[in-house]
Amino acid sequence: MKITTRDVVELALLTALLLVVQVGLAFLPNIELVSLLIMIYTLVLGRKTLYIIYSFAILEGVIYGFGVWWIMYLYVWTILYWIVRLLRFNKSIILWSVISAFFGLAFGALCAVPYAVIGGIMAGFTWWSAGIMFDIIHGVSNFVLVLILFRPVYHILKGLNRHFLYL
Amino acid sequence: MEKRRMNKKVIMSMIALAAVIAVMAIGYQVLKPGVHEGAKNINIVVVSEDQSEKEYESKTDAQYLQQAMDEIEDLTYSGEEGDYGLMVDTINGETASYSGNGAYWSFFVNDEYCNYGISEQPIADGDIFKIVYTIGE
Repeated sequence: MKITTRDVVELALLTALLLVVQVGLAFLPNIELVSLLIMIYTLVLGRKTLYIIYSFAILEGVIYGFGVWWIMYLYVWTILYWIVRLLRFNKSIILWSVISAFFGLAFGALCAVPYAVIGGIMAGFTWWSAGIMFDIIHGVSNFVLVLILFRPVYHILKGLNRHFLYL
Repeated sequence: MEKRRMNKKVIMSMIALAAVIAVMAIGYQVLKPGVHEGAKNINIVVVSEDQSEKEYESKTDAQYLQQAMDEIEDLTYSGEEGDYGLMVDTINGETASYSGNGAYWSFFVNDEYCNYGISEQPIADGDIFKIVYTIGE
C-alpha cells in the first residue's frame, strides 16, 4: 500500500477528527461516534483506515495514560474494521446500524479480555458483568447514531476523499 | 426478489438484536451485586499519600458504598463521571492525579480490590473499606 504526502495529510486530519469526537463526547457514558467514523473510514479509505486506528490508539494513550484499558484499543477497533471490510458490499443503513449495535453490545466483553488475561477468567467475567448496562446503552446508542448519521457523514467523507484525490 | 430477501435479512437482524439486548438485560438483573438491607456497621479507612490513616465508623442503611460515604460528614470526595460511574480523584481534599504522577485512589473491601464503582459497590454488615492513595507502576 503506497502512502503519498496527500494521504498522510488526509489520514492525519481524519485521525484528529476521530480524537476530537471521542474527547468531545467522553462525558456521555458509552455514547460515542468513534464506531460510526471507523465504519465509514473503512468503507471510504479501505486499508488506510488501519493507520488511523493505530494513530488514534497512541493518541488516546498519550491523553489518558497507557493503562490496562489501553491494550483493548489495539484490537477492538481493528475487529470493527475487519467486520466492515468483510461486509463492505452491504448497502442497507439499517444493517449497518444493527452491526454497530452488536459491536456496542459486545464492547464490554471485548474490553474484558486483558482483565481476564491478567486477573483470571472470573476477574474478566466480573468486570464484564458489572458493565452490562453500559453495554446495552452503547448498543442502543450506536444503533440510533448510525441510523441517523451514517448517510450524511458517509457522503461528506466520500466527497472529502475525492477532493483530496484531485488536489 | 432481491429486495424481499434484504427485508427478510433486516427483520431477522433486528429480531436478533432485540433478543440479545433482552438476554443481556436479564443477565444484568441476575448478575448484579446483591445487597443487604438494614442497619450495618462498616468502617472506612482512608490512607493518604503520606501513609497516614483516617478511620470512619458508620452505622448505615445504605446499600452501596457511595451512599454510605455521603452519610459521613467528615469524609469528602469528588471525581469525574466515567464509563463505569464516578471515578474518584479527590478524597478529603487530597487529589490523586493519574495524568500527573500516575496516582489514583484504590478501593478495597475486606482487603479485596473492589470490582465495582462506588455507586454499585454493595456493602454488608462488618465490611471494612480501604481507600488508598496509590501510585501506578
